[in-house]
Amino acid sequence: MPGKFVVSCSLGKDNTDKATVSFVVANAALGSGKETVVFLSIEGVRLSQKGFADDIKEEGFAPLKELMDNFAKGGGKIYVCSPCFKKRKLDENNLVAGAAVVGGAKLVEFMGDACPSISY
Amino acid sequence: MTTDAIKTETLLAHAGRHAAARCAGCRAGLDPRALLYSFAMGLKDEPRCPACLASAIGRPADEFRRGLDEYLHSRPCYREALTVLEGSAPEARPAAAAGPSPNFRPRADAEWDAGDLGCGDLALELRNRVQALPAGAVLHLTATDPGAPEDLPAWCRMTGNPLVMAAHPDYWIRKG
Repeated sequence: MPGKFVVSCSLGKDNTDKATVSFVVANAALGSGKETVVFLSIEGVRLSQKGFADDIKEEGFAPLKELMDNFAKGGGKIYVCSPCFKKRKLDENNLVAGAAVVGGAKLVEFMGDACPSISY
Repeated sequence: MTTDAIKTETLLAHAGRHAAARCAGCRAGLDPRALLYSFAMGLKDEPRCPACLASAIGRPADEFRRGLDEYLHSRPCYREALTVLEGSAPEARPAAAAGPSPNFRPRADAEWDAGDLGCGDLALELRNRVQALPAGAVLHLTATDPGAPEDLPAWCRMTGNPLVMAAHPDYWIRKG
């Protein structure tokens, strides 16, 4: 049974550096064999919309869209906070690959009694 | 891909993931058709055998099977998935005959329209309402929050109050 790992990201274009490294670390966890979830909240939920991350490219890292695509292709899941999503009137029919709108219970269940996590 | 093709792919992936699963109720083995019945009833992560599904909604097993077979055959995505999984070619029925979910409504002992409550607000109040019920009672919950389809089954699993059926925004939860 592989371990689990959660990366919590609360930022979008308000901090593209943190948004980017969230997915860099997530891919490191996934690549290390961990069952990995990126939890998006606050402005981070905007990353769940197709096209939003297209113009985010931080020096020293791959473009964010590519990081997110690779994360999803590798089996990573993106949990998108529902209240934050609704507050920003985002589109459920325009989610990036691997993303699902969830409430807190789904995240709590995934984390269980012991799950390492990192928050941005 | 068409919506039906995407849905067929989803159904086949689901059947593959649960290929060795046993009924969440009685531990009986599950054939592909039983997995699709469970998926149609909104129980994608806790598949159950037809007998347990029928019992959970208070219908005789044969009536339940007939209703679900009718439903599966009338929706192109399920029909295609059945063809692949059973290696047969079921007779097509008009898609217009089917609603978005099988036409079964479990008996409910309590009702709660939670409107657009979601996440923590929904989970906390739901816990209060279910705790107030006698063991075995079924709550019919209406919750339109877009996170509910993922969140409510997770809540049910964690709290030990089984999800009887889900057809968003309607959910039926039994007090464990």
